[in-house]
Amino acid sequence: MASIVIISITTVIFGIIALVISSRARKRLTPGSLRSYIDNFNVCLSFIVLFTIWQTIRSFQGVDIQIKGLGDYPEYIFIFFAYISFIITSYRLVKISKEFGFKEEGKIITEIVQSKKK
Amino acid sequence: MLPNIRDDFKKKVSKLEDYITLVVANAKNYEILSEEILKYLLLVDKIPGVYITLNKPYDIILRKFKDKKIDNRLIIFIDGITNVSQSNKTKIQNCLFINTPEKLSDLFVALDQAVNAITVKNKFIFLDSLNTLTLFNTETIIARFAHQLIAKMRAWKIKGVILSIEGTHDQLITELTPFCDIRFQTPTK
Repeated sequence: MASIVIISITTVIFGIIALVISSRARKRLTPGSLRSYIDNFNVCLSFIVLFTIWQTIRSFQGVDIQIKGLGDYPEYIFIFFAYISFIITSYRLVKISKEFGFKEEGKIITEIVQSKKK
Repeated sequence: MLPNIRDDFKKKVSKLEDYITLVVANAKNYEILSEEILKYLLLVDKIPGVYITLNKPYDIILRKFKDKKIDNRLIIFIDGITNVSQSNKTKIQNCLFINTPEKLSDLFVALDQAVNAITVKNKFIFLDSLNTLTLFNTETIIARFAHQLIAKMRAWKIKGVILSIEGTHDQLITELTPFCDIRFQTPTK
C-alpha cells in the first residue's frame, strides 16, 4: 500500500513540475499558434494531473472520496475531459501542420533547382 | 543613378560560403537595394530561399516579380503584413500569411519549417525588414529576436540578408552589426 502511495505522490509531483515547466515556456512566447498549442497541452496535462491527484487521495488507506451525483469514480470525469482535450489539441496540431508545413513546397523547389542544374 | 549594387554586393559576399549581411538602406534607395540583392541571390547565385516580407503584401511582390521576370518558384514567402489589413488569409501556393509581425514565435516556427523544407545545401533567408518589426514590438524584443535569428542562420549555414532602414532605429542597427559578417550600406553616389 505504501509503495502505491509513494508512486502516486511521485507521479503527481512529476505532473505539477511538467505544468510549471510548460507554463514558463508559454510565458516566453509571443501570442500565436505555438502559444495556443501550449495552452491546449496545459489543459490536457491539468486534467491528467487532477486525475492522478484524485487517485492518490483515494489510495490513502481508509480514505474514500465520493461525490454525490458524480458516481463512484469521479476520476473518470477527469480522464474523460483529458481525452477530449487531447482530441482538441490533436486537431490544433493538424491545423498547425497545414499552416506551417512546407514539405511539398520544399520538394517542388528542390526539383526546380535540380532540373536547372542539368 | 546608383552605382552597380549587384556588383558591390557580389564583391563582398562571393568568397563566403555562408554569411549574414545587415543591409542598411536609406528610405530613398531601399526599394532598389532590396531588389538588386534579391536578384543577385536568385539570378547570379541561383539559390532558393525564404523571403520574409513585413513591408509589402505577397500580391504586390508577386506582381513585381512578374514585371521583372524573376522566377518566384524558388522562394517560400512568409507574409506578415497582408493580415494586418485583410484578415483570415492563411496559406496559398508558396506563401504563408502569419497574422501580424507581432507574432514572433509564429514567424520563427514558420521560418524553421520553411528553411528545413528546402533540402538543397545553398539557400538564403531574406528579411524585409527589421524596422517593420519595431512597429509592432519593443526594441528589446526585436534585438533578442534578431540575435536568435542570426544564431539560427549560423546553425543552418545559409546566406542571410537582414534589411534595415537607417535613421529610424540606429541603435538597434549598431547593436546588431557586430553579430553580422557584413554590413552593406547604401551606395551614396
